[in-house]
Amino acid sequence: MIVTVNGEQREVSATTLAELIEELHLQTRRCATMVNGTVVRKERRAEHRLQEKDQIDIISMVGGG
Amino acid sequence: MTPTEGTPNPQSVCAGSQLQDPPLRVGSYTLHSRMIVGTGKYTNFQIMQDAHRASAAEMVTVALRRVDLKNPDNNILNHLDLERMTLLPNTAGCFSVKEAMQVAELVLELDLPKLLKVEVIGDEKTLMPCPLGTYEVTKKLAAEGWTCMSYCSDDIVLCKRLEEAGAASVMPLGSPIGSGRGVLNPANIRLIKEAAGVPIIVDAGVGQASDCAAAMELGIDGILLNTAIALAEDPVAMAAACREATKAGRTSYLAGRMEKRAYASASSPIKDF
Repeated sequence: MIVTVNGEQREVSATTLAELIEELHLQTRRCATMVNGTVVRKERRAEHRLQEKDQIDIISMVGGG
Repeated sequence: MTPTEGTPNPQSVCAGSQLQDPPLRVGSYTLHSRMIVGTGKYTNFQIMQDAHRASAAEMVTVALRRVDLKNPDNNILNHLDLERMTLLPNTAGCFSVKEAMQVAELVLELDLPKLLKVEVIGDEKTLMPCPLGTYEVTKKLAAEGWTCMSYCSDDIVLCKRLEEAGAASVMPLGSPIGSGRGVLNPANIRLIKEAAGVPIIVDAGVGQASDCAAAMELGIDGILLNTAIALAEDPVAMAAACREATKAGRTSYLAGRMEKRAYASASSPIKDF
């Protein structure tokens, strides 16, 4: 299905948010997730089913002041 | 630390003086350095890491953003000495209460404690903080048990209100973010400090080491700086200079300056020559 991840459209085979994290090889990375502007908690990722055209944000820490 | 460079009593400001300086406490956090540093704008992680070491800072700010999916291994956490430094996530880039509250939610998702630099920007051009938004976020998060370090303009009434709202530290700006213009209104900062019951940390505006010293001489509790170090020609050297200047300014404040006089007062005896 086609979803938008961090602002970029992608074709993904994942059906849940947890699978998407694995597909992107981010399972070991400390990150937070949002789907369509709402935070999805870590413990909910496995049960959170993705929908066509979902807007997914994967957030982590970067440099800042 | 070797005996030659150590002070005989770690709490004493220097050998031979009775003056003591306790560590900076913000909420439940104890910092032995009065300087907090950032992680933005560095040319590369190696320089940042060396500058952090030179700064001796024990708290370091980070921002929350999307992971770079083209380069997911580019992880800042691998380049921060987390044994020594506490992460202070910020809400930089937030223009609304809603956005800042969402960042707080994300901070918890990143397995970080309830510690946040509250920053709600009110003006895109000057990046001046929004007093209303900052107040509201501070009040909400403090009520939820967060340690809020609230970045704000140098307005004494606002600073008092933020303290009442539950801020663990109030952080008035010296001058606009990244401007490097020093503390533009030292009189305000002094008044803010006099009225405060929580640590006052000047955040933003430092351009060079002397700005750190001048700010600390106002009696404030600490300084947060990023750009002055990151954009110096030699960031590591500037970090060391700012560390020494912050310490010097603090000691100078504690030492108690002489009174200013309108006229000269000879330092050498004027009789018996």
